[in-house]
Amino acid sequence: MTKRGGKLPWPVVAVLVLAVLLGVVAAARGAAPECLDCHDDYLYSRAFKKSVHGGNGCISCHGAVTDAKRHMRGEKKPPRVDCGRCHTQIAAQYRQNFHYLQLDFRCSDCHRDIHALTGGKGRDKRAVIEKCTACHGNEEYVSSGHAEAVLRGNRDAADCADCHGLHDTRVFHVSLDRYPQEARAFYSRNCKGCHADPELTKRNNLSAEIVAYYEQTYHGKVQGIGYPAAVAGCADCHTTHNILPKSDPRSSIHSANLAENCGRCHRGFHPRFVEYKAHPDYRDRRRYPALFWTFVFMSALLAGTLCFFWIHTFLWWRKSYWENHRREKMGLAPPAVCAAGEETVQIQRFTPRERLLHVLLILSFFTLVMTGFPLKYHDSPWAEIVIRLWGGAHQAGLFHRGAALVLMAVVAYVAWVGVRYLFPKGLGLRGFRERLLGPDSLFPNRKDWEDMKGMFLWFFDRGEMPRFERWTYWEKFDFWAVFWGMFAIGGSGILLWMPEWSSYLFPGWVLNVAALVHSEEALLAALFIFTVHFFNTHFIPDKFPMDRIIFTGTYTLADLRQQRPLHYERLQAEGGIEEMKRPYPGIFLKLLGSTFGLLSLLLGLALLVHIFWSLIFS
Amino acid sequence: MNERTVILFVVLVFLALLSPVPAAAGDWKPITPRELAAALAAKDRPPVVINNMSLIECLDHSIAGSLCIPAEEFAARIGELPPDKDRPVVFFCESERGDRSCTAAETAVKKGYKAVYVLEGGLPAWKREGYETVSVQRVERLAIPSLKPAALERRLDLREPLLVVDLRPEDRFAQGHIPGALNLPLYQLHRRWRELPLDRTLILVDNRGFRSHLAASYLAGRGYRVAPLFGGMRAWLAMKAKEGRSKKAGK
Repeated sequence: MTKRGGKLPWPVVAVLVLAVLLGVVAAARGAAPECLDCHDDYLYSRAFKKSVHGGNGCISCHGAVTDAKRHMRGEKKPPRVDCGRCHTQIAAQYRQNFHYLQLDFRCSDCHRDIHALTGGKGRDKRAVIEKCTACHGNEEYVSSGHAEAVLRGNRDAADCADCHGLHDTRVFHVSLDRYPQEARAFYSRNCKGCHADPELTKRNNLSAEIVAYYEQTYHGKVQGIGYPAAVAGCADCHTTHNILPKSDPRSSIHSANLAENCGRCHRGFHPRFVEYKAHPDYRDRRRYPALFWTFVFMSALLAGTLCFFWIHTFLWWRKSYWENHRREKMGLAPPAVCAAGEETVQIQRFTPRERLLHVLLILSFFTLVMTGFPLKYHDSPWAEIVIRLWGGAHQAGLFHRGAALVLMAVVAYVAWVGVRYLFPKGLGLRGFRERLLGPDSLFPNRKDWEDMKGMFLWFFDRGEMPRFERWTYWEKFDFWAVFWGMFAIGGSGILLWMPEWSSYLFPGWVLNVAALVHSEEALLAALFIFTVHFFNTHFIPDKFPMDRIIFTGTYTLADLRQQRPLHYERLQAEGGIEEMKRPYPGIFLKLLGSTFGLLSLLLGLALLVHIFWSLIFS
Repeated sequence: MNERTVILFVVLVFLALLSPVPAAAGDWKPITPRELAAALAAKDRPPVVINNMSLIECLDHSIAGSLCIPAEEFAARIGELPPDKDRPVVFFCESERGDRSCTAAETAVKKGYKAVYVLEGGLPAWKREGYETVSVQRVERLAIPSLKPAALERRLDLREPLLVVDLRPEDRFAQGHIPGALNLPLYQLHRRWRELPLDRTLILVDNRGFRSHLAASYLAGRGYRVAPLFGGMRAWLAMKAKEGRSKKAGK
């Protein structure tokens, strides 16, 4: 128990407590007088107080010096200062820093002036450059455009840390020329961080689209899909430090240095190979006229073809659906359903060879679409998933080239068969003309034009459906479209496959044109096949969900008479029906054809959805 | 056994020989930093930990309680290991691939040590995991500008008073080195640094440029004018290969 009379009045207690607290804080904040007795130079007595750490006392950092006497006698050396106690985030980053991991650099090895360190707003880029170049005497960087801008006071220009990281510096290089995959992705990401920033590029009078243009090239697409080992990232062409405008003869992208620059990755090319444009804008008619007009042509081709056939398809679907509805309402069944007896006899439409070629065509086409489109739409989330299905971008590339060879072989074989058909032995030019313009020919003729007009009249209920011969006009279009596609996609693909060899035939900018043609024509082909061809052959109401004739090879005599009446009549007149009769396809073939066909249709539709998704949202 | 069976057998044997087999690891096993930390904290039979770097590096920074036996000297100094061959022994170095520690571990296995381990990822992995190192005699890191291979070649061509000091082990030096270089392996530097001349700049060359800065700081602290070769011998060889390619292309 305390005596009442002995108790101090509360204001006195409060003053005493405050005094004690202030004394403790003062002792902690200021440099303790006993420390300054020995460490009395200007740095500790004056400069330290003005530094960013001036609010701390000596023992805030050197807290382990608990016995000053022993310390003064030199018996107790203070342990290493743990800056991470306050700078936790930086310490966590620094644990991954190359300078710490491999060279065992500590905070004070760079921050030597820690007792006199003054703060500023943000990072002092000049100080960073000065600090790094103390050891990394990089003359190249110091004379580069970035350093020049930093030294002029441009806070947007890259200092060392913008590319290499500040406290999380990483080292990837295995040699000065070759970068592993991770490094190329890391540094390219850092370059894009600034050069794709609209505000930063606007402030500095740079093109905000330059990264987007690069990403539309083969280099950019392949890197985008996650296979940066084999294609040029930013630093491969612009080098790491010697980044200068192309007008500067010291620059790696100066015209005099391009052969050496490209030669770091490409071997054995013609000097005109360097005319390749690394990030062209195909909308710029003045600077890239060839690309501009190619883009205009390909866009017109794509839009024109699809517009025409989508309208054609829609009108056809409307007519068929309404027609079926009318028949159903009247209680009439389609002729093929009513067929009986002789009408159900199977007639060959496609030979086993033609069916096999079509299966190869389907397999190679799907492989090409599934390996090429992820590259075209590399920024879509589905692209990465599809590429992973192939076992990575490298393997997808191999499959793409393999499938291209198969498709080229198929088309070459069909062309050879076509030529042999057109030149029957012993009949000379007359034979050629008869074959070319005859009813079995796939060569377009006047009747196709008339049929097409007739179809449009039929769509609008202005006439009967045209009477077709062996091949309809849309089938002939499908046939010739493959040849055009092979010329456009196959030709450009070969040029891109071996770009160095291509330079002996064409200048480098042709590769830009080839890449654009390859990409746009592929889009046209995929959209055409997955919409127009799928509808014309499978989704038309009479055949929905699929027509398996391309796998089984036969249809009924009733089908022949209904779908191709002129062919039927010709066969009747020539007595060729008997030759065309075939046994009913086996159940195994039917099942296999249906399964393969249905899976192909579903896969095509799934790809179509993804392509549309990318077209709209990418 | 018919002919087909014999052919099949031969093909299978051939394929087995060709198939990738995990690197012949002897009997040593990898140990992760976490496992090593746990083993060191255990009271019962903690492992003997051996740092296979040079003495300068060991004193500068190392795992607490570790012994220092440079890989190059390990065969001669194996007697410093405990006689109990069942005692776990862990080797580490500063290469993420563990080049030096693997060599030493193989020697220990050959000498009959039964529980031999190599720290996975070496000392960098240990640090990356957040484990501390201790410093007995730290070399003060100095701001010493490094020299790039092209700059060195230029200065050599100008016959500047330079001495290239190759810090790599003798066998690596014998395989190839910069013309005129003196071989003073890093593991001998603490004994032989006085042999170096003071009248010219020393260009320090290691394998990848990771160790030469420490050696440069060590020598600079003793009054030498030094410059480490940036990127080490690998960078030098890469430059030479590039020059070779350019010459070939020029022809």
